[in-house]
Amino acid sequence: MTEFDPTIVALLCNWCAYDGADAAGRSRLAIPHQIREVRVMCSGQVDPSTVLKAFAAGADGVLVLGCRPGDCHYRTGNREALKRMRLLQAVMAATPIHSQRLRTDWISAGEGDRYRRMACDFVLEIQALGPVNPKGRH
Amino acid sequence: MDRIGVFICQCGPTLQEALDMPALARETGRLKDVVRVERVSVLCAPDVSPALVETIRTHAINRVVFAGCSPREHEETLRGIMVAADLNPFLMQVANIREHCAWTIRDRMQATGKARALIQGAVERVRHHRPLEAKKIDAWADVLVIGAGMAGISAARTLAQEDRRVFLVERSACIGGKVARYEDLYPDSSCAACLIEPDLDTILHDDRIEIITLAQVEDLRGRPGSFSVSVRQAARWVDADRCLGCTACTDACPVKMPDPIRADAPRCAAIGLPYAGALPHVAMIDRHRCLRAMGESCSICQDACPFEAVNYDQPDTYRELSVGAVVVATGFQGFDPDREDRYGHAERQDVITADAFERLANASSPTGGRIVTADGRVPQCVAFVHCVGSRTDAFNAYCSGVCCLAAFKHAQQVKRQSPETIVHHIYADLCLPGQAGQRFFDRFQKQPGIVFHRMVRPGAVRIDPRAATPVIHVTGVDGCEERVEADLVILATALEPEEDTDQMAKRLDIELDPDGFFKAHHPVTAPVQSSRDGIYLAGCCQGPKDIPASVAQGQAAAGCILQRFTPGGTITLDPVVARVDPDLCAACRTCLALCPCGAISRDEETPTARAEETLCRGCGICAAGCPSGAITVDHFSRDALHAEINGLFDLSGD
Repeated sequence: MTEFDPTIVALLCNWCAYDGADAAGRSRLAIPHQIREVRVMCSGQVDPSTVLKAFAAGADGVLVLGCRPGDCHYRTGNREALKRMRLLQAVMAATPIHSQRLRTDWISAGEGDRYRRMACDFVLEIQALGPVNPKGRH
Repeated sequence: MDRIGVFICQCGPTLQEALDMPALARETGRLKDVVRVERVSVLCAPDVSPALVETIRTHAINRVVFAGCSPREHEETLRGIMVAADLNPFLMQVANIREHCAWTIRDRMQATGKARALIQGAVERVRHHRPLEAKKIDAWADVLVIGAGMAGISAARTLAQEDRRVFLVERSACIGGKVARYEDLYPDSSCAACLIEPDLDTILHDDRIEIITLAQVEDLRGRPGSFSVSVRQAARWVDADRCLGCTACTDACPVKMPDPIRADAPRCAAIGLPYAGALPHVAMIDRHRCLRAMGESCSICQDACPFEAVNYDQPDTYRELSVGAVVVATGFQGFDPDREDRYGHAERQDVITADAFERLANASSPTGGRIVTADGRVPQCVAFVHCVGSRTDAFNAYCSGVCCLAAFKHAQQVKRQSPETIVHHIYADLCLPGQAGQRFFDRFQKQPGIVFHRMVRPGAVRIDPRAATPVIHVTGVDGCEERVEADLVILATALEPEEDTDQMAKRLDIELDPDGFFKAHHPVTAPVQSSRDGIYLAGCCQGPKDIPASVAQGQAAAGCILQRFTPGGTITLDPVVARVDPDLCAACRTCLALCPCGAISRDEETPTARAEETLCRGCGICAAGCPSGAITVDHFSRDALHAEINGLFDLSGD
C-alpha cells in the first residue's frame, strides 16, 4: 500500500509568514512538497469561505499562518484570524472535515526553521488522519 | 479575451538543476488562454526587459505570470516590465518557484510538480486582476516631533531651518528633556546649560515651531505624506501668554509637599515652575497636589498673581494635526533599583540613582548643586555601583553603553567639589567607547583617591538596608567578598524604554524590539526609520545612546524627511485598497470596528460604509469580516484567491 500523499494549502501573510517561508528557501531547508503556498496581505484577510474553498478544491489540510501575536503588520489582523478560524473549526466539527485539518499559527519573518517544523508536523498529522473523503474523491 | 503570457525565470543555473524546465514550460503551455511560455535566463537582469516587452507585444499578451523568485524580492522590478510593455502593472501575478520549490524540495519530480501547480494557480488568479491606477495626492510637508529632549529638539531645529512647519509635542511642562537639568557633560565637563539653553531659546522663539507642552499623541491615522494626528493637551491652569514665571504664586501656595529628591529641601508648592530655569518660563498647577483641583475653594495663587495669569477654568484641549511625517523622540527612563532589594535604595536616603545625582548636582537643586549626603554633610567617601539593571538576564540583557562614562563624569563632579573625598567604583567591566571615552577615563583615574573594585558579574553587590552608613558587600572575581563603606552611593542605572513606550507603539502602530525600545526598520541600514513608513525614530527611544548620537539621529531623521517630503509635493497611494459595494452593504458597522487604520466611516445619507483610500492600507480584515461580502480588496479579492486555489488543484475556474 502506498503512503497517503496529502495536499496542503498554506495561506501566508505577506509580512511575516510568507517571508518566513521564503527564509526557509534562502536557507535551503527541506519543506514537504505537499505544501502549496498562497500569499495574502494579512492572515486577517482569510475569510472562512476561502478555507472551505480549499477543502472543496481537494486540500487535505489548510494552514493559516500570520505574524506572531502582537507583531501583526496591521496590529489586529492575526487576532481576527484566530477568532474566525476557531469559530470555523467549531462549525467544522459538524462536518466530515475534521477540525484538526485547519491550523492557525504564527511565523515571524526569518523563522524559516519554524516554518519547516510546522509544515513537517502538519503533513504527518494529516497523513495520520488520511484523506478527507476516500470514497467520494476523484 | 485573456491572452496570458508566462515567463519562467531560470535564475541563472539555479532553477534548471532543481526543476525540469522543459517539462514545466511544456505543461504550462497547455493551460487555457496561455498564448506564450518563455524560459528566461535571468528575469531581473536589466538587459532582459526589452526582449520581454517585444514578446508581450508580438503575441498581444494582456496578462502576465512571472515564475521565479519570491514576489517579495522582485515584484516591483517585474511591474516595471509591465509598464514598459504598456500593460497595467497590476495585470500580473508572480509564482514563487524558487524559494518555495527549487530551494526547498530535494526531489526534482516533486519540485517540478509543485512548480507546475503554483504556476497554474497564478494563471487562474491573474484572470481576476483589474487594472489599478496608483493615484497621487498632495503631501503635507509639516512634521510632528514627539518629545522635546535632545533628539527631538535637534530634529525640530533642522526641519525649521529648511522652513518646515514643526509641531513639537512634549509630555512634560517644559522642553529640553533630561539633559536640560544636567550640570556637566562628558568628556570635557562642559556646562550643559551653556550648550543647550541657546538652542532651547531658538526653538521657543522660532515661529515655524509650535511647542505643545503637557501634551500626548492619542491617535495617528494615515500614511506617509498624510497623517492625521489627535493630540490632547492638558490644561496648565496658567495662561502661558501672561505668566512671566515670577513665582509669586509659588510663595503664596498653601500646599507644601516634600521635595521628591531631598527631604530636607524647601517644600514644594502645587503651583510653580517645573524647576528653576525651565523653559518655557511659565508656571503650572500640579493637579495632583492643588487643593482647588481636589474640590476645595482655594484661590490664593489667583489672588497672588500680579499678571492675572492663573485660570482654573482653562480646559484640556484637543488638536487635530495634519502632517506628512513624524519623528518619535520620547527618550528613556532610568532603571528603577527598587525592583531588586540588593541595592537598599528603597530604604536608604544615601543610596541614589544616577538620575537623582544629576538633579542633586544641578545648580537649580535644593542644595544649589552642592553634592552632600542626605543629612547635609560633604561625603568623605562616595561609591559608584556600575551596571545596575544592565547586562543581566533578570532585567536588561544589554549594556546601556553610556553609564560608565556618566559615572566617571559624576565622580569628577564629586572630586571637583571636594578633592579629598575618596571615590570607589564597583564595576564588572568598563565600557569606554568612542574617541573620547578611553582618554577621559585615563585622565580621570590618574587622580588620587580613586579606588576600583571588580565584581564577578553585574549586580554582584548587596547594600545593607539598615546599617548606619551604607556598606556595600562586593563579590569579587575571585569569589571572595569585600566590604566597601561610603557616605553616599550612586547607582549607575540602565537606560530603559519609557514606561508607556508600549502604549505609544500601539497608538502609532510601530513595532518594538525585544528590549522594548522602538524598533528600527533595520538596525544597520535604516536606524532612524521605524517599522512604519513615514514615522522616524531619534534618540534613546530607539535604544540607549549618548547625547551626540541622539543629536545626530534627530538630524538624520530630519534629513530623511526633508529629502522625501517637500512643500507642494505629491505622494503615490498604493492602489491595493478596500472598496465597498454600496448595493451589498447592509450598513451593519462591523467593518468600522474591524479596520485597524480608521479608514472606514459610515455615510449616514445612503447609509453605507465608505473606505477612505488615503487611509486604507489594504489588509483586507474588513473584507473577510463583512457578513454581506460587500467589501473587496483589489488584487486580493475573494474570487482571485479562490481561483488561485482551484488552479493549485488543476481545476479550471469555471
